[in-house]
Amino acid sequence: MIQAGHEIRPLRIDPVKASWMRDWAEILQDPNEIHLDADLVRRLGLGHEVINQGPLNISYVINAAMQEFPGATVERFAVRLLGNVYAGDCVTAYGKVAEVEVISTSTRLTCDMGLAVEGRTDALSVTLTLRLN
Amino acid sequence: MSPVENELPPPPDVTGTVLDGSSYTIDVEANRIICESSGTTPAQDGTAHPIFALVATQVGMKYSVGELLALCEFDVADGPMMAGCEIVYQEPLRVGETYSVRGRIESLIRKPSKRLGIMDLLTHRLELYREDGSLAVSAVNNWVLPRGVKS
Repeated sequence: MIQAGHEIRPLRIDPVKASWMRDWAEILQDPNEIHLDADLVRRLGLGHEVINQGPLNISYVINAAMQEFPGATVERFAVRLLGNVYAGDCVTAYGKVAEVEVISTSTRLTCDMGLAVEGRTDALSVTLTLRLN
Repeated sequence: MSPVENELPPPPDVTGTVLDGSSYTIDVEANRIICESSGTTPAQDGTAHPIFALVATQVGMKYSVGELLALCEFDVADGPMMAGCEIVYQEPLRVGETYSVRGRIESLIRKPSKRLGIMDLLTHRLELYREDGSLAVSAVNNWVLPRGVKS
């Protein structure tokens, strides 16, 4: 039985690659050049490398939870974006179970999670709710 | 509203703008790329990566991101930033399934910012519906639009 406080195994991405941002820009049909053009990022004063898409950062956190609880379904997530992730960064999705609720034959887990960026402050704060059958 | 906010020029009146769009089909190849680039493999049970809640709503809404921001009189080249979101699933999204997208702009609020000068906070709600008309996902997204003028 999973209990509150259960630590989710961290998922490390090292390094974040600019080529992935190009793939996601195409899939998201996102014309925002901060994901594609490092010169623009520098001109805007936002950093020195291209900036990872927010949904891609969120995916790392979802994947950490889904790898910890295979077969779980995501019911809800709420995300605050706290900082940028750049090409070349090393990031780690981490978290722990904050609440466990047994509902009939299934279990609902509410997880407090984050995305740590090596050398800087966290990029994301995430509350993720999963259902385990 | 603070006295400083009262002195700011009002943002464009876009609250209530309908974002109902077209349909979006979750593609096998897009699901593979999204999974592999984010550190996992596609699920074997036909479910799509949960992040397609954000992908499908963004791609399937009435306007492109650039057009949506243009409605807010903001140039996408000026560095819009996603600030947060809340996603609620009624059921998992599935690869190969087609969803229709509906939504609206909930608010555009102008505020002073020490770091960004004047900024606008854009909130919009987008929903995915299955072909039988049932709701699959709702997503509320918040964006920061830095206006680049120090207050």
